[in-house]
Amino acid sequence: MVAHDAHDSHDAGHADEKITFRIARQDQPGGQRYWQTFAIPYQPGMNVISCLQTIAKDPVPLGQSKSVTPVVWDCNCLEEVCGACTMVVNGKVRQACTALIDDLDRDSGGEIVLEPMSKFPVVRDLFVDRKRMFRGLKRVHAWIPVDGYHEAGPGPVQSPKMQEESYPLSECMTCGCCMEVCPQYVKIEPRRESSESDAAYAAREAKLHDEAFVGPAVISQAVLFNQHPTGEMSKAERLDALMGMGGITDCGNAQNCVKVCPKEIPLTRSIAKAGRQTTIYALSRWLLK
Amino acid sequence: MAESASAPQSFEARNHFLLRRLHSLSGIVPIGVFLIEHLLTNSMAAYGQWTGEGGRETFNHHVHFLHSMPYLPLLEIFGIFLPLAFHALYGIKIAMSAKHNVAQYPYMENTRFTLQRITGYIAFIFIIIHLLKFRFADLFPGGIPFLDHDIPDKFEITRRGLMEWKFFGTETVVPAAVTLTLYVIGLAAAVYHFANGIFTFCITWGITVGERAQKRVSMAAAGLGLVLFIWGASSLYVFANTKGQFLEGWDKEEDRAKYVDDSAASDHGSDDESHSNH
Repeated sequence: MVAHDAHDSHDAGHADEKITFRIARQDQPGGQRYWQTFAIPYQPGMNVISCLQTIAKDPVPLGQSKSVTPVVWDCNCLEEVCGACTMVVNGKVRQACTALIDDLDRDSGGEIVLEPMSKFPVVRDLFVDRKRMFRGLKRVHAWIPVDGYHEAGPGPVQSPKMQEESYPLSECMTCGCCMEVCPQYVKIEPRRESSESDAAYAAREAKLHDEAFVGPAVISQAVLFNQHPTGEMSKAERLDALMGMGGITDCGNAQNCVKVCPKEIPLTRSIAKAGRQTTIYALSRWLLK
Repeated sequence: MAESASAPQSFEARNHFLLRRLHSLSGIVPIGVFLIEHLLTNSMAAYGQWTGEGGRETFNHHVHFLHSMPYLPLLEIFGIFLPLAFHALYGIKIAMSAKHNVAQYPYMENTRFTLQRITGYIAFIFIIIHLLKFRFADLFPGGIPFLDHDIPDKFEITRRGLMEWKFFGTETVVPAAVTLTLYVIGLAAAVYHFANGIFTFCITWGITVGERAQKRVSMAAAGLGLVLFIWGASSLYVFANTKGQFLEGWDKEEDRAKYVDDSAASDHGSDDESHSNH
């Protein structure tokens, strides 16, 4: 709070200060990237999303006289629990909603640089297609199969210790920060053939997704549901998926994931746990054959 | 899942887990174990000088023990060459799949991740040169057959390979400083790759799950790496600072005179040195 007060008093004297944004733009999927710079007046308590909203009101880039199409971005909750507004702010991946202007380093050139995440295909400007993550969650069965209308009775009791271990993992919002920084997670963006139907393209893309690395968040979710007393019943399915192409063995232990996770999820611990579970599972399956 | 399950899968896809885990295991056993043994044996050159028994004698004694092991060709093929080739080639495939980002995210483990791949490439090139220079030297004209029992002074073969290396069957002698620099770089790369590999091996197999356990293994592996580097570097130092000798079973008899005085002087010299050291 002390730092905040200092900012406020500092900023009071700079009411006419301008905030400059250098924004990576792209008009359509697979399109060419270009840069535009926008300047807006400073207001106390701004975050990157509120700045983008201000820019959208009058989107005239510096050095141009006419307004352009507003910058497109994705956002939803505005309180860092949905993960939709994840983008690269000043070279570091994070949520735009909690990227407060007062906290950002504007010393180098005075600009705030906004780019879309580099590991997911750009839909437009800062808006990326994160479907590969959700397909990854499906691949490892990251859910508990309790669907149905019949009375199943009370589930098994979960120990407070396990609840404590599981809770941080359940905070994952599939934002993609861990994938963005993972050197083993490489962007998949197949080029659309002109003769290809939507369905054929989607199938081809899905196949590529199913062979590529699922990424830290997905491994952690598989671990979360494996250690749930009910979820444990389908542990084998999750481990089978994790042992396939793009599963746990594609991790290279660069450990960037755990350092950028906005929810501070112990991702490397989950990865090591998945390593242990697959080791035991593979060995016991082999010895019981 | 349905569509990918119905399509025929490649050999790698069907055996993905097994291949990746074999890659991880082969780096420790047998390759890592062999690296420890190799550098331990090399260090006998320095150890022998330190104890006063003579670097040459102690080194040759231990190399002779290794070369007289039963099933040596099988041990070499299945214990060294095949695992090494698999680890190297599959490792290159894995390394090429990475998109490095140390400049953007300069965290310690990320730097180690990139270094692991760089040292892997260096070690790969170094080991090929090293094998062709010693183990397979006789494939080139004028190369000394390292395993030949009629040439018992392996120390001298090694010393010449480092200090008077004739470049792959040519008459061009590579300057000793160049060869030794290559060896220090190759040694450092191999040792780093192994020590950091112990850290990642323990995570991959799920041996170290917690952050502190991983840190501890990391420190222990660094300690082992340091010992291995000292073993290797000290043996290089001894090879670089020992005078040449007539190589029984290889050098021509008329060249014996060239070495007689030198070797007698160097024998005395090393004896004197070791006496004065103790």
